[in-house]
Amino acid sequence: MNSPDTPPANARGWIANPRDFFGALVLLLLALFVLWATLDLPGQEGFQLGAGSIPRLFALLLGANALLVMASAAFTPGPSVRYSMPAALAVAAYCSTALAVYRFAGPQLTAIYLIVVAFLFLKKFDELGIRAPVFIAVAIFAFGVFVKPLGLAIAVFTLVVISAAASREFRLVESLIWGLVLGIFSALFFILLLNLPFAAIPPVLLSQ
Amino acid sequence: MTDIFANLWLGMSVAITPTNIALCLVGALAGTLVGVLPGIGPLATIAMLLPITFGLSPVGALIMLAGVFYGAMYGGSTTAILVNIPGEAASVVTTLDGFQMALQGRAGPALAISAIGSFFAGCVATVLIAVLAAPLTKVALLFGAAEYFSLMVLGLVLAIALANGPIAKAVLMILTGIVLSMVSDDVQTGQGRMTFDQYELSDGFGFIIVAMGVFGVAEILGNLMKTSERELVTQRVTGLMPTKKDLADAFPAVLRGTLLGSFLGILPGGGAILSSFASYTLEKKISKTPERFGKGAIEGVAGPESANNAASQTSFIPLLTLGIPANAVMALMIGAMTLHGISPGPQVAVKQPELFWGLIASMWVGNAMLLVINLPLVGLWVRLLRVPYRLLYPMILVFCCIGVYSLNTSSFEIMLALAFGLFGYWLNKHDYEVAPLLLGFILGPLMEENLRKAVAIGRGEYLEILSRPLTAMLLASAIIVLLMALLPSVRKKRETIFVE
Amino acid sequence: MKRLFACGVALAFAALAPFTAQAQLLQQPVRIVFPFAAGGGGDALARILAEELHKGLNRNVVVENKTGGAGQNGVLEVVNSNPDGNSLLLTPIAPVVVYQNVYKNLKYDPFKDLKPVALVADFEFAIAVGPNVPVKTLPELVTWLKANPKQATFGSPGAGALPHFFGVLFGKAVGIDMVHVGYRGSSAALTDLIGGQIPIVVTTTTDLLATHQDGKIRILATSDSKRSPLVPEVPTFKELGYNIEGTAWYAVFAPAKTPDDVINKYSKIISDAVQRPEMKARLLKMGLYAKGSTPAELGKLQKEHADRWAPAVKASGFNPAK
Repeated sequence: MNSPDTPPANARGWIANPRDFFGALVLLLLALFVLWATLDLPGQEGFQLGAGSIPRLFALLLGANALLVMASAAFTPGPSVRYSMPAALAVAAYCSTALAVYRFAGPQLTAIYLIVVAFLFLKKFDELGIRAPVFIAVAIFAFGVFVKPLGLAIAVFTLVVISAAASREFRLVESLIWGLVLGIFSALFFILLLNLPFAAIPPVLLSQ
Repeated sequence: MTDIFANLWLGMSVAITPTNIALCLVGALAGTLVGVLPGIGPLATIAMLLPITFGLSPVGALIMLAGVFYGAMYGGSTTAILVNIPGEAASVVTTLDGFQMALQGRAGPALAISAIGSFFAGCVATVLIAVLAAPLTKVALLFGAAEYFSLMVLGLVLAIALANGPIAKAVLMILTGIVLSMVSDDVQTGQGRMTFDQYELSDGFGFIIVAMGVFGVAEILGNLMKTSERELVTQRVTGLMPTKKDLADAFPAVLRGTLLGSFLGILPGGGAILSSFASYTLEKKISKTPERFGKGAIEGVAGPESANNAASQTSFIPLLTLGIPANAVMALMIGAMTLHGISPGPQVAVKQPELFWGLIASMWVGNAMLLVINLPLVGLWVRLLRVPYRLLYPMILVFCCIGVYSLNTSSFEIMLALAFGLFGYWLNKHDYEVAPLLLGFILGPLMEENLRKAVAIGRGEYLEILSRPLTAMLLASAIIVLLMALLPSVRKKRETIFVE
Repeated sequence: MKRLFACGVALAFAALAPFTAQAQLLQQPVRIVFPFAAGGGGDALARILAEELHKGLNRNVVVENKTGGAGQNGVLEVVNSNPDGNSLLLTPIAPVVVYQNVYKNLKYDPFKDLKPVALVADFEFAIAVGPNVPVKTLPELVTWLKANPKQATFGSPGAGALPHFFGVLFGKAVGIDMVHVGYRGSSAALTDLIGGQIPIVVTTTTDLLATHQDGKIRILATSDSKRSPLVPEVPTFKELGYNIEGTAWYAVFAPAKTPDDVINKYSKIISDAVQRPEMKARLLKMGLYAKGSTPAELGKLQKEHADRWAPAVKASGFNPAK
């Protein structure tokens, strides 16, 4: 998982317009990735265009254009963007430990690990300026992991409470109540009323 | 001519009974209430609400469906204006100026003008269908794979004009969208392209997933990183209804949007998708003050919304005259009609005139209901914006996640939406606009598929394919538009370099 | 105004309630997995079956759309489900009959991992020509194609779908090398056919019916062993002396270890339901001939059809894994 704040060190100084430059850099990487990933696809066969022809063409165009923008951004002055090395390191440590947990303990324990760490180091993440992305990402991840085994109501409750902590105006009691309200509402509205094929409560508890 | 009015009268007499109007009202209300949830687009809304029409008479069901259809479509625009999340392809453009208006406390006028413009466009398009359906069908049939390919190229070139910043960055975003759209199984050979054997990727990233990510999640992240500004703007709400000046500004745009949308809606191969942003581009180009666009220009909402509704109306034409649905939503409508024992097609007009004309009249009724419901609702929606943001955004996230999950009950797709959210946030932070990305994402596959079909049908003789008159014309206009867009920026760049 | 709005909301919900009141939050539903997106004809069939199963079992029945891999994902979902009778698969023919020949690394065995429940309905294909093709019969078409080999192009609703393979089968039978163009669904192919952009389309008879009756296109032959009740005036391929035949169907399967008594119960409910006259009429309007069968009959049909399509798949050269 990429944090939006992954910074190249010394972003300022040798690049005149780092905002355009580093935005385009990611797209250049995307183009290179696409070129690599479509290498094994056939191109033109007889008179028919192959599955790989058009993706490679556009990946090349994207890469060339990204280079162009980067080149112009290197020399034309523009606004700067704030990157922070400590934040990047924190995110890297956070993600890599989570990956290790995932490897040995599966998605659900990973989600719990992510949640616990996020709340334990809430102050730290806030100081580093990455509180919002961390909590929003963890909240969505937890929803995705919990919705099947625990049912919609609990997954929504978790999503609301964790994502609420992304804001500096976080109030614990208020978010607990709001999570409860939205959890019950979602179960009633989407499952009872719209008959979507989700379980409202943990499926283990459903009667046959 | 009198024939047509006799027919329309027949239709009205079928559609306008107290029961039917009540059914349409309920349908439109339910469609609006579900469609307005961010993350749940018109397609999902209609599919979810279909069961409420079971057990009704065919005409009653049809009219209720018309209500649901327009309600759901309008619901998509409402979320675009209020929370910057497009519910479907057509409302991507509405986010550009609609959301800006909302930020300036003018969500009310934006919502109202889009309801009014839609209603006007709907009325015009209904008459157009009644009068000109047959000749317009012939136009639609002129478009083969080669023509659609060049139309999509033109569309992509026009998309450049959507961006406010430098052209190179807009082009970059469009290309990114196209490249992302190519993750899927190839339509012609079934080979997986960048899918890494993940079934969830074999049909490509869903529009809802990308839109929830780059608009929904990214927008929330952006707001949380600078909380104070947002709180300020939502406090001052100035008037719920458009002023006289607003109406005067918007009216010509509504008119042009209606015409453009009516025409493009006829083309079943994706014309309707182009309508909203073709209209936006047109308004921006002919405006005396193009710099207001992207900063809350009412024409930027009125034009595309009218175009979009006119197009969704005239996309019924191929359905009625040929029995061919123009898009997924239309196909769903056909499915619904067949469930009620109506098989739309050229035969219906002759064999069951009351049904055929009842359907056309019900479109108009559906549009009218939209206006009846939504003008009063504007106040409610605007009040929704006054809910403290710390409560609002978790709720938006809940609906986004449930919307994504309801597509395929897949946790993986929720993770994809999250990844797109982080990607979108990175782009926003570096001042790259996501609307052109989404348009590239929508038009890219259409362009590729049609090019490959054209090459297969034309047996690889490119010169012959590209020299078909309509194709050549469309491609030539694409080149001209591209040059027009590029030249000033080249000149400007040279100037700035010289100034230094 | 506020009260009006409140009334409206109440009204809308009241309208929704009776249809979903049975849905119980606390009871395990029976789910019918449909391996394609909501909105199409097959999806409608799944919803009709859900209604019937709900009536027959007096339990909540939900339809779950599980798309991906041209149907593979949905099949796999059921294959990996608990065999407790709470998961069923409604699938068209291709994922359970031809995919083992199409996808080299198919993650399920359609014969071993699934247990047949009941055949629901079947339908046939037809070949049609557009307005620019000056022929009235299939033999005329063959002569015309031999004189104009550059026109030997046919469209189908999708690459890797049965109409694609059937078109290849036809080309092989008459000795013409046909170029295939895959569309996204019948509608797109039909538009091009009517507009004269492509000379030939092979797809289901139903999808061609309305425009055929309207005279905009011409159906030349149908693919079942007997004539189609939808277009009884059109001969079959067999009648015309081309030894090709093909039908497609929708059927219900369950995970392989589901107990037999559950399977038999479901099979009976489904078969009885589709045999009712009003249901037959409803399905016919969707272009489906209602069938119903015992589990054993479906199993036999599945094997027969797998043998029939294998050569066509090979001849098409359609091979996503290369």
